[in-house]
Amino acid sequence: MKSKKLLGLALAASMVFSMCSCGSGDSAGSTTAATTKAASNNATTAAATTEAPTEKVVEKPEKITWWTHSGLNEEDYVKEWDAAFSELSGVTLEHTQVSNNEYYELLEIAFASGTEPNVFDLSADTKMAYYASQGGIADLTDLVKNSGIYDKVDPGVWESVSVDGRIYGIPGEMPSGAITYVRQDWLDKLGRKVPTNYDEFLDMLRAFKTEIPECKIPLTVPGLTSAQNLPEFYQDATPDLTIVNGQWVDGMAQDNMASALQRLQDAYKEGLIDMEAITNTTSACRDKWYAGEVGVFNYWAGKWGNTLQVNLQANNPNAYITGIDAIKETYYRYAGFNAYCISGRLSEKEVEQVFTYFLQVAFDGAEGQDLFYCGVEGLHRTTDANGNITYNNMKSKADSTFQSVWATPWLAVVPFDDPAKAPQPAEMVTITLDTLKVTGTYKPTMPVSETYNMVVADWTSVKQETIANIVMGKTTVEEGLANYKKQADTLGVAQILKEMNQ
Amino acid sequence: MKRTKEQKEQKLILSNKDKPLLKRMYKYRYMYFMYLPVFLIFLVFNYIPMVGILISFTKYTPFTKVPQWVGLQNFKQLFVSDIFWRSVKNTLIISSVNIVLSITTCVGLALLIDEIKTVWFRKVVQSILYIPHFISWVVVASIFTMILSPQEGFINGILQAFGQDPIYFLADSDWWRVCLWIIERWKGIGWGTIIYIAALTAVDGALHEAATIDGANRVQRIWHITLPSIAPTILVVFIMDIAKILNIFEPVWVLQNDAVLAVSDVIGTYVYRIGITNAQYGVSAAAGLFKSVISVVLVTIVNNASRKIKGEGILS
Repeated sequence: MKSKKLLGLALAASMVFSMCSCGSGDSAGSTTAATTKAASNNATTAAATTEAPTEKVVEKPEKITWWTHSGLNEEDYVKEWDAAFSELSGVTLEHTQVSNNEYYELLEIAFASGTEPNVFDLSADTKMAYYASQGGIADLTDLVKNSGIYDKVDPGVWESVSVDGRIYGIPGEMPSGAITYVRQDWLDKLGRKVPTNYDEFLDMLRAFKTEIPECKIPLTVPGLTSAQNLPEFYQDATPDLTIVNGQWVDGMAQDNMASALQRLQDAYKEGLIDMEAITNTTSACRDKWYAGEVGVFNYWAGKWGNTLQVNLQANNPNAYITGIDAIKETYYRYAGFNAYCISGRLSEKEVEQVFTYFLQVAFDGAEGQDLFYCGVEGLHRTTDANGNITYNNMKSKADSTFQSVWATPWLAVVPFDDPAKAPQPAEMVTITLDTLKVTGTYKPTMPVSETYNMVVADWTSVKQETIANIVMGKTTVEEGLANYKKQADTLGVAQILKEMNQ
Repeated sequence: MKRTKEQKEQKLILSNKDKPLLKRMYKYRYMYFMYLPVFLIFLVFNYIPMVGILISFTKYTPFTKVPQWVGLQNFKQLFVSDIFWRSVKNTLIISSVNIVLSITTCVGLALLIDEIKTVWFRKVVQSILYIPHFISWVVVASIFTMILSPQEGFINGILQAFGQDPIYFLADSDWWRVCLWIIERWKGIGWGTIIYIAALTAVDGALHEAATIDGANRVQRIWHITLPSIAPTILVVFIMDIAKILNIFEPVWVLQNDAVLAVSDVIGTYVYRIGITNAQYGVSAAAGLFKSVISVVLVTIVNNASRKIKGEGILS
């Protein structure tokens, strides 16, 4: 026994010395050693090494830089969280919170100026393929497969964060999607049931408009170009690139788009859709909803379902809402996965270090994952004697509890070792997520197209302008779409589709 | 023969110019020392970044390690784009009207303020007029979006009180530019008067007294004395505004929406969309370079025209 311990110590010591003599890369000054299985403190590492001497040892980097654009507000103990993560991983975490609205612009400027973070998240459906093609993100396939994370996760998830069969990120949570919320108290007042088809949906909006005095806006929406936010009108159409019969096509050029735009135009003209849809921001729509002026609002399922209910009731105590099932002509749409990626500019060794001491800690199913999803004990959460975790009240909004830290525990992609002990969702959260699940459809990952990257901004403007002009009645559907086709041809949409379908 | 004062000054200038540069620099070393910080600031923040012009001749994305030289490819891409030329046209229309409105309203208001003889009241008026300048464009956009709202906006409330249909001002192509110009004036008019009020204080009061004795009324005095006196200032402001004519961005960006892109998309918003949102830095830099060249050309034309008409310009 004694000789075994001595052997273990000798092995650990030799590894420490060998690591020290290896030198270091940009952010990887070697200080100690750890196994890939448990990236924690030195004592644990040494013990783990003793028990499993064959496991690969990864040097600790000097620091890891990480960008976030959502999650905790700065005043909600972010510094304390960073310190706790640094302590747990044994690596200094340099965490920067950036504006959510400008996230990709700032990230790309950071890449252009060589100041990109080691870890950042990307939309898997719109950005991942482009970043991968440009060498902006590292191929994590082997690291994910060797870490044990791979086997804990549904293979379909890995497909969603893969480009050409290679995994480029780990999603923090299953994507959410938008469902349609309706004022149930108004339906009750009118003696109506929730609509199940488009005609009933329109009748409901008309009834809200004419028979509910406090209803100023039957349906509000921020902008008119998102099929996700206007599923009842777009139905099976979408202005985005989409797949038909296995081929990528321009959604705007499909036959179903004309009828979708006609429905939107008619409803807008009738005053059923918010007149200010074009200039509405998302927060403006939420404010109108909270004020109790709106009958229907399509918004995120999950946490937001609960928030929409609670904030509406704060101003209108008798109000209550329901997230309706998608009407028969349409379906709800999930947003794409958001995956944590590692900068492709790091060396292979540095990528492995960052993976080991950041992603593997955050998705370890245990202590690291508790910290990542539930926060710091005593600040963000409280753990009872049985190990059950509940969220505490926020510092920034004392009358509200946290509902997540950097990702939502009940949507975690990599499961907790004991999911029952993680914070549980409110009833409204579960109900709305279940509603979404019934018809929810995932977005396909877009392939890379050089031409698309060149013209996407102009193309998006042309689509937005076309839809706005048609819906507001400045042009007919036929004229608007014919004009769109001309502009799309000039921009080279045919070439984009050719490149995507290769 | 006794030399005149002018001849002496002329000789002094010539004798200085005859000296070697280093000697002259040594002689005026304290002047040069005082100028040094300004020179360094210009060098670091204005001239060295000009090397970035080269980006417009390269294929440059955020992930490019070594930019690939593509010659005039980015300019070609730009010049075949209808959306780019639409943005050029919108920029010229929006900015030209803005310059005319800016000069006329600011000069007019400065003349009115100049007529206020009660000092404390004049100061209060000036202070109130300056306040909008310090409000950020984002806040201004929010305020006017509410005021112009077709549903609960103040303006539409008045229209509806008179039995008119509400107008969605900010999403109506016919109204959007008008709204922008009005909002621009609301925000900038007070600040714009400062330079003219300063110029008005320098107008010789004796001229006004003489004109009054000769029977000139207030309008005649303004027309024949005040305006000609501040004409050089108006000219300087005009030429400087021309230099910035293509630079409009912020007010357009915060007030723009999908329904009015045809009349609101300007070079600034186009460059932002291509360069920052789309990360096509090469094309974006090409558009920026185009904008700068046109600005230089415009300033030179206006300056030359000014020299021909008035005998003076602000550039040498």
